[in-house]
Parts: sequence; structure tokens; C-alpha cells
Amino acid sequence: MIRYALKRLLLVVPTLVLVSLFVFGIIRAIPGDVVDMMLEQFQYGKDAAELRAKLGLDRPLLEQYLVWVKRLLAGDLGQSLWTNRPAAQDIAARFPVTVTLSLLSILISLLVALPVGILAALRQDTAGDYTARSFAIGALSIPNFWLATLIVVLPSFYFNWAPPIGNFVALGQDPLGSLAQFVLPAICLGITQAGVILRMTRGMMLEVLRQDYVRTAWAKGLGSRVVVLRHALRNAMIPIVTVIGGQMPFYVGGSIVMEHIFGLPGLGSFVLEAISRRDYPVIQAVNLFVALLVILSNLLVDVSYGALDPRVRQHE
Amino acid sequence: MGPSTRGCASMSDWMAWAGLRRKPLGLLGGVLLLAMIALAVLADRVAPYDYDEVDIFSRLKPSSGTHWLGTDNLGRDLLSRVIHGARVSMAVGFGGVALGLLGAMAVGLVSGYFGGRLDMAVQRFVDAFMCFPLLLVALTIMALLGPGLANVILTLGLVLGVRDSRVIRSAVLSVKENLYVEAARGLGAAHWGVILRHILPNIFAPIIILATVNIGAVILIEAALSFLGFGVPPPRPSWGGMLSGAGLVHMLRAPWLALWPGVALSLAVFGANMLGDALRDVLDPRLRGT
Amino acid sequence: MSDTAIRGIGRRDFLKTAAVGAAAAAAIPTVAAAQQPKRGGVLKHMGLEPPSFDIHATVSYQTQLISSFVHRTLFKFVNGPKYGPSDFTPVPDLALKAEVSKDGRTYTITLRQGVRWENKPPVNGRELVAADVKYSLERAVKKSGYASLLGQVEGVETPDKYTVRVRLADAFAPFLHNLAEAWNGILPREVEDKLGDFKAAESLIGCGPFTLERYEPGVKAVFARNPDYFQKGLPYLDKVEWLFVKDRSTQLSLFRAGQVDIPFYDARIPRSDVGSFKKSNPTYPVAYWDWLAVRSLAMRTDKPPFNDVRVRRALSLAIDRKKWVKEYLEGQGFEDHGPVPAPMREWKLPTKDLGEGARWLEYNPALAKKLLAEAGFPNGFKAKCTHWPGYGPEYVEELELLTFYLKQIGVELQIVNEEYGNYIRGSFLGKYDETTWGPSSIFTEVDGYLYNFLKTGQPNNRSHVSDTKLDVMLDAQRRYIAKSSRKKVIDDIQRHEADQMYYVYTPYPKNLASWTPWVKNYQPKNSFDRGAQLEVVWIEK
Repeated sequence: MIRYALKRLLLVVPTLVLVSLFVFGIIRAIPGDVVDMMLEQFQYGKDAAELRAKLGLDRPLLEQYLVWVKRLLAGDLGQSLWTNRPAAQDIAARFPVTVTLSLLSILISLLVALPVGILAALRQDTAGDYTARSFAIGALSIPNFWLATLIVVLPSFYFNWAPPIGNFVALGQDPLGSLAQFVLPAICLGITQAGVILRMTRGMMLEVLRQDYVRTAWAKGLGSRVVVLRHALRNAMIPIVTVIGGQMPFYVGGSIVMEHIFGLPGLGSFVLEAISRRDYPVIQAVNLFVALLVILSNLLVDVSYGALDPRVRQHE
Repeated sequence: MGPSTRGCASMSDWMAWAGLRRKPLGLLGGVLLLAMIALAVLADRVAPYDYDEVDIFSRLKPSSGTHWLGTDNLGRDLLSRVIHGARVSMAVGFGGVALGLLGAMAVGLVSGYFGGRLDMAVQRFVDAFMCFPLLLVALTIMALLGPGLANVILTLGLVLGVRDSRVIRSAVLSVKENLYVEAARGLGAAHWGVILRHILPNIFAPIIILATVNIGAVILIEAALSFLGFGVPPPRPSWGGMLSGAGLVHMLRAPWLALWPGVALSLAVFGANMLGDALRDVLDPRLRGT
Repeated sequence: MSDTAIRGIGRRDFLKTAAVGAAAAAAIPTVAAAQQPKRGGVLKHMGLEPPSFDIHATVSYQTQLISSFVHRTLFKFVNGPKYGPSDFTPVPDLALKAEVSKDGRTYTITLRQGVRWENKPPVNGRELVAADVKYSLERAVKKSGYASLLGQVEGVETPDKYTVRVRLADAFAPFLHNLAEAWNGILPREVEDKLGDFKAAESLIGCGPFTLERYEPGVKAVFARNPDYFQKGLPYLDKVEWLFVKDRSTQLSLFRAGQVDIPFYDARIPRSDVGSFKKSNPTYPVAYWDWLAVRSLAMRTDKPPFNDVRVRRALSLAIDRKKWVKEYLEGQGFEDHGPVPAPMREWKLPTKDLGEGARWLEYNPALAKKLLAEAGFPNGFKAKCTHWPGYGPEYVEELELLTFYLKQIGVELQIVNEEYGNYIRGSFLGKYDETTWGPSSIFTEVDGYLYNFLKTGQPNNRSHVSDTKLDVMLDAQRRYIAKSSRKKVIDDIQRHEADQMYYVYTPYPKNLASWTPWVKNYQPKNSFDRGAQLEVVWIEK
């Protein structure tokens, strides 16, 4: 098991190097000189040389990369060109928001998708199955920015009520009050993802239900609830959980829109702001951080999957 | 998402279509998607007006005999704009998907077929790329390229292509192990011949499934990009653009501006996903009904 | 304030100013008689998160808005419901008076005494003196993207603790006015010495009506009343919460729900929502107010086809400005057709006084086609038009309307949407191939709309105008300190531009503003000095 985990960890190294190269490349992929652009665009001060030196753009490419990596390893993610704030500080403040939103969305997706998906599988090709899947795909078919906007606008127009937005309270300050701010965006994000998970649950359940051991259990006269819950669901859960783990990038991506609409100070709204202001060190830092997050969650999923299912270890 | 091997392509294809007939939802999806394609192709003939025919004397009018779905903020016929919107959205959908599939096939086939170190190297690239959220990558690339129909298609194609190469690769891997592929290789057939003659036809199922499901995804991402200000520029109407532009601005005063493009968009995505789902059920033997 | 406040050429004009200023100072108790100001309360104001807190490091208005709560300027514009949104009469703020020499090159500014910086490190309640003004002015001249709006500053001297003398290379009429702009806030040097610059929120230390109590990135900035503010009794509000919600629909929804008091950084609500607001919030006041962002189609007048004045006149003749305002803007807008925005009534020349040029401002597509044919384009032509869609859906609509009108005379504008960075460093600065359309920046001084756009070689001269006659007039209006003489020149500039049609100006809407009914003494204002605007506001629930 440890060997397997080590092997996975080793595979992460080239990925990390490539991720850092991608991120490093972003800023250099821009046609023209970033510095000239910033000066013209926002009349950012007047001292080009100062800015160039700050970005390290006055040195050879390889050296720039090595210096950057060295700083990264020392925990320095760079600092905003606009505010001088270290990117790491902002990321640390905003990361919990995005994670809370993501986890809550996943929870809501599961609460909707698991029961409905199981039922749809048990009653394959019946009216119930069709309804459930139509709902799932229907939910997938509505742009979530639109759903979110309706949720915010309509109650304010008809009842002069709006969700708690604009006065963000951190989890640590007031846990319940803070969670209340996440419920609606999590529903909007979760509903979309529920469609994906529902379809997968249904598929996995169909497959597992056809396996011999489930049929045996059924033949032994075990109650259908016991069969479904104890045997079928547990086996179907492994791939489902894997997939949810792999959906981390989706949640971070989706939270860009949700954080924008619901005024949540998370990584999504942070990076959107940085992109619109061309704050390159920040864009680099957030991209890198999100990628690391994904690598880490993939690694965890892989390793725990390996721990759960011995076949994986052998196969690798 | 794991596609699997099939013995004989033409046989099972026939079975697939036969099977689809027993999937009413999938059929409905297919019909919806076909209808949207027809609208896109025939937009010029079907639409009662030009999509950019401005008439500011009758702006924001509800549906009437002359304008069935009403008029928009510049007095343009909404029905015509929704119909022409099909053209843009389908162009983005099919263009992005086609480009993505081409990329995915190139990467997936090469990586899966040749295997070894090449595969290892390519897969690390794919790994790295997949660490970035799709919308974030799309936004960053759009910020570099600037808005425009071609750029939207290019961006989505690139992002989907890398992502889906995984699926293609695993399909190739499972086909590669088949006896006839080894036999062909043993008989000294050239690599490209084997790929074209034996592998490609046998990974048809995942390609078709990916294509249908991705169309829905691409239309939605275009809408999200429009919402964030990186969509297809006016006056060409895209559903996402109509929904997030004038649709949002006038949603209380003239809700039809958002309603109809929204309905069209959702129907298209719904259709594509339904069809994709049914095809998956039918083409993927693991899930085929007993 | 004595009537000798200013000596020299501009004396009579400044007298008027001074009188109004005195009235403004006296206005506070007068208003109180009608409506008793109430101390206390928190104003929740939709705001914008600035990219940086350094007013000299960026030309961003977001920075000016947030800085104005804390930093004060030498002069400020009148505020409160008694004055219009575009009334830019300057009144004393940190300065008491200014005198200008006869040649218009030397300004002697007398400072208010006893103004103290906030009582916190590194300034610790020290008195604000002439050296602070010298430091800030010199920093603005050196660093700010707006520096050219101060003319050519040759030197700043401080003869004594409360006197600042500014020497200009040449007379510059807009000088005093522009000192009242929020980007000319007076900054304490110690902060830069300590923090390196003013980019971070911690550097927001000033002497204004409010102090920065808290800054939560991505959420809000909270300002609290400055107990040591030199305007005794002001501000009335305990706190202002400056909220950074970015989504427009969300902003309006929070406003409908009463969760915020002011729905936008300038209280704007969308035109199309008036009806819905009357339904959902019948007690909310709704006011129309003038706005200063003129819109124009800029063309490459340095090359064909736009170097031909007939082509430019034809484009103008194709636009039915009356119908545009009446139907599209539903009567709430300006048929504006020249560089000076209509709300600047003291400078704006009415159409009937434009002489020859007035002919090209009528709607006459037949004549337009004839002119095009004479210019060698009987079937019209195609031209690319760059644009940044991010200004908002309403702007996109206006551009689509312009496209429609030009199409009627055979000129097909092909809209090329640009990403913000490309637009602002390209088209905005005249780097584009054929045409570009968009709003101007907002200036409170008329010179901003003239010199920047029409003078040969200016970066904002998007149409690449190079007209010797115009250049002479543009320089002259900057040198005339006396308003009446200056006005004559500016009139001529407007006549000349209408005739030459270097820019084809398109109509633009009035703004609609609304605020919650318990916000009193509020007046939408066309300046970024939010601090001065809100210090006279109170809440009465």
C-alpha cells in the first residue's frame, strides 16, 4: 500500500513541473510586453523599469522561471501589482469560501442525486425512471447563472426580500449566519452537478445490480432495501466518490459565476477580478494554487481508492 | 464513462439504432437536436425578419400577430433572433465539439496506440492541463485572444480536446488488446493503416457519445462566457448572449427577451444530453438492458 | 471669505465662485430649518473595489471614489440637493483661497489652519501644512496619469506654513478647477515613507470626513466618522459601508429589498427598470440626472475614406438623433452632437448657434447618400468598428442603433468586440484601423473634452485630428483665465468641429438615480468625490 502511494506521489512530480510551466507560460504568452500594456492600460504609475524589475522580466527566461520556483518553494506566491498584498494572504482568506461552497454543493448534489438515481435504476425504463432522468438532464440544461439570477431577482421584486448578500460573515465569526449565505449558491451549483451524479449513480447501480453477488443476495430472500443499501450501493459508491473527487475543478470553475452573483469573496471572484485587471502575479498564483488543490484531491482519491480496492494496486 | 470493445462494428451499430427506438427520451432528444440543426441551417428562410432589422418605434413589444415572440430592446423581431441564434449556438456547439474531437482523437489515438514513453509523456501533459478548471482556462484564454465567434470555438475546442483525449485513449487501449489488432500488426501492417482500419471504427461509440454530450456542455459554457463578458459579439445573436445581455437587463420589463432564448438554449442542451444518454445506454454494452 | 480672494485676470469669475462658496457654508444651518439633520446611522452604499488605493498609481475612478472618503482636496465642488449633479462650482476645502498672478502663471494658495491628520501612526494627529501640499502636488505631477490636467507645473514653493505657491510654465485656465478633483487629494508623506507607497488599504490615512475602519477584500470597506474632521458637525453619518457586490442584478435586488441604500456607486438604476421600481418600491425617490460621458464614433481621419470631410458629414446626416432620443431613450436623453457634453450648460453651444456646421447635424439620408457619391462611394462601403462590450448592454444597444442608421446609407459598420486590455490600450488611444465607438472618460472641466480629443498628437485624440486652426484655438482656450474670453474660443471650437465632423457624436441617455427614502439630503453628483457628497447626507428612519 505504501509502495502504491509512493508510486502515485512520484507521478505527481512531472505533473507539478508541467503545471508550473503552464502557469509560468500564461504571463509570457501575451503578445507584446506586459509592462507596456499595464502602463498604457491603467496608467499604472509611470516607471516601467520598476515594474519590469518587480516582475523579474528584465532577466533571461530560464532564470526567471528558476527564481519564481525558488520563491514558490519558500512559500512566496508573489504579490499583487495593484495592492502589494501577498497573493498567498488573499488566497488563504478566500480559499475557505470556495471550499465551503464546493462541499455544500456536493452535499446537495448527493442528497438529490443518490436517492433519485437509485430509484431510477431499480425502476429502469418506467415512467419514474424517465421522470427522474428528465429532471436530471433538465437541471443540467439551465445555465446556472440564469437560475441564480432568478433566485436573487424575483423575490426582491415580488416580496422586497433578497438573500443575505453583501455583508459577508466568515464561518469562524458566525457559523450559522455564514452558512446561510452559501445555501442558495450551493443549490444552484449543486443542482447542475446533481444531474451528472444522478446519471452516474443510475448507471453504476444498474451495473452492480446485475452482478452475481447481488442476485444471490436477492435469491437468498434478503429484503430489497437491505440488498440495495448494503450490497449494491456500497459497491456503486466507490466509482461515484472517485468521480466526485475528480470534479473539484468543476466546482472551482462553477464558483466563479456563483461567487460573482452572490457576492461571495472566494477564489472564483478573486481570479475573475485579477483577470480583468491583468494582475499577472495573482493570476499565476491562483491558477497554481487551484491546480495544486486538484492534484492533492486526485492523489487522495487515488490513494484511498487503492486502499479500498486491492485490484487497483495490482493493476498499476 | 468507460466505453468498451465490440466485436463487429456494423452489426452493433445497427443494433444501436434499433435499441435507440426503444428509448423514447433519447429519441425525443434526437428530434430536438435535429430541429435545432434544421433551424440553424434554414435560418434565413424560416425567420420572418432579418435578425438585425431595427425598428425603434416598436421596441420591447410583447408577442403579437406581426411579431410572434414580441420584439427586443431595439425593436428587432425576437423570433427571428432566436432562430438565427440557433445558427450561432450550433456553430459554437458543433464547431467546438468537432475541433475538440479532432484534438482528442489525435492525442488519444497516438497516446493510446503507441503507448510506452510517448504515452507516459503525453499523459503527464494531459494530467497537468486537467488540473485547471475548464471555465478558468477558457476565461484565461479568452482574455488573451479577445472575444469573437472563432475564438470561442477555438478555446472550447482546445479545452474539450485535451480533456476528452482521456476517454479516446482508454477506448483505444481496450481495442488494441483485441486479437485482430495484434494479428494485423503481426502481418506487418503499417501503424496508420491499423489505426485507420481497425482502431478508429471500433472507438466509434465513445466518439459519438462524447460528441452529443459535449454539444450541450459547449452551449452552456458559451452562455457562461457571455455572462462574464467573453461571448460572441453583437449584432449576431447567440442564445447565451441574448439571455445574459438584453435578457438580464430587461428581465422584469420584458421577460420574453430572456424567456425565449432561454427556452431554445435549454431545449438544445436537453436534447443533446438526452440523446447522449440514450446512446450511452445503447452503445455501451455494460449498461445495455438484459 | 473676502472679495479679494483672487486677484488678476479671473477675478470676476472667482468672485462668483466665492460668493457661492460662502452660501454653501451658510447653507447647512438654512437647510436644517426645513429638515433637521440627524446624526447617526449607517449608510450602505454599493461601491467598487479599487485596483489600488494609490490615487496617483492609476487613473481608475474606483480609486478616486474610495480615496475621497479619507483624503481631502484643496478645493471641492458644491454638494447637496441645492446644486445640480453637474454643478462644479469650486468652494474652499483644505485651502481658504487662491490668487492668480496677472500672467496667469503663478497661483498663491492659502491653507486652512488647524487641519489635523488622523490620530494614528505614522501621522499621529499632526497638523496638515504647506509641505504636505507641496509633496502631494509634486507626486501627482510626477506619477499621475492625469498630470497633464494640471498644466505644466514648473515648481511648488512653500513661503510659509500655510501658503503654497505654484508656478506654471504657461497660463492654464483649468488649473484651479482640477485641484478639486479627487485624484488631487492631499496625502501625508510619512505613509509613503513607512509603507513604500499608497497601494495598500492601510495607506488610506487622511484628514477627511471619514476614516477607514475596516477593509475586507472582496466584501466591503467600512468608513467611520472622523471625530477630528475640520468641518465641525460633519459628517452626519456614523458609518458608510462601501460594498463590493459586482453583479448588477444582485445590486439592484439588494436595493429593492432595502439591504442597501444606494444601488450603485453613483446611485444609478437602469432606464428599463423605472417601471419595475415604481411597482416594487413605490416610496423610493427616482431622479433623472445629467451625465457627462459623451459617445462618439471616432474615425481614422488621417486616411481614406475618412479623410474626406464629405464622408464624415454623410455619417452624421444618416443619424436621426431626434428619433433616437424620443423613441429609444424615451425622451430622457440628449441629442448630443459635439464634444462639449450638454449638461455643461455654461459651455455648450446650442445647435442653432453652430452656424454652417448645424446643417450636418440634421437627419437627411438623401443628402448623406449624395455626399457619399460625390466622395466616390455611391454604393457605400464597409468599415470595421472596434468596441469594448464591457461598458454594458445599454452601450451595445446604442452601437447597434448607430450601425442600423449607417446601414441605411450603405455604410456597413462591422463591430469588432475587443477585450478590455486591447481596447483601452488600443482603440481608446487611437490605435485601430478604421473606426471605433465608445464613451469618453468623464471630466468635470470642459478642457478635458476638447484638448484631449482634438489636439494634434494627444494620446486620446482617437480620430487622429490634425488641424492647425483647431490647435491654435485649443491652446488659446487654455490660456484665457477670463471665462468670457475663453467661452468665445470654445464656441468657435464647437462650430469648427461641427463643420469638420472629426468625430460623429451620438445621442446619450440621462441617468436615473434612486436611493432609499430614509436617506436625506442626497444628490447624485457627476464627480468622484464621494466623501464630500456624503458628508452632508443623513438618515432618518
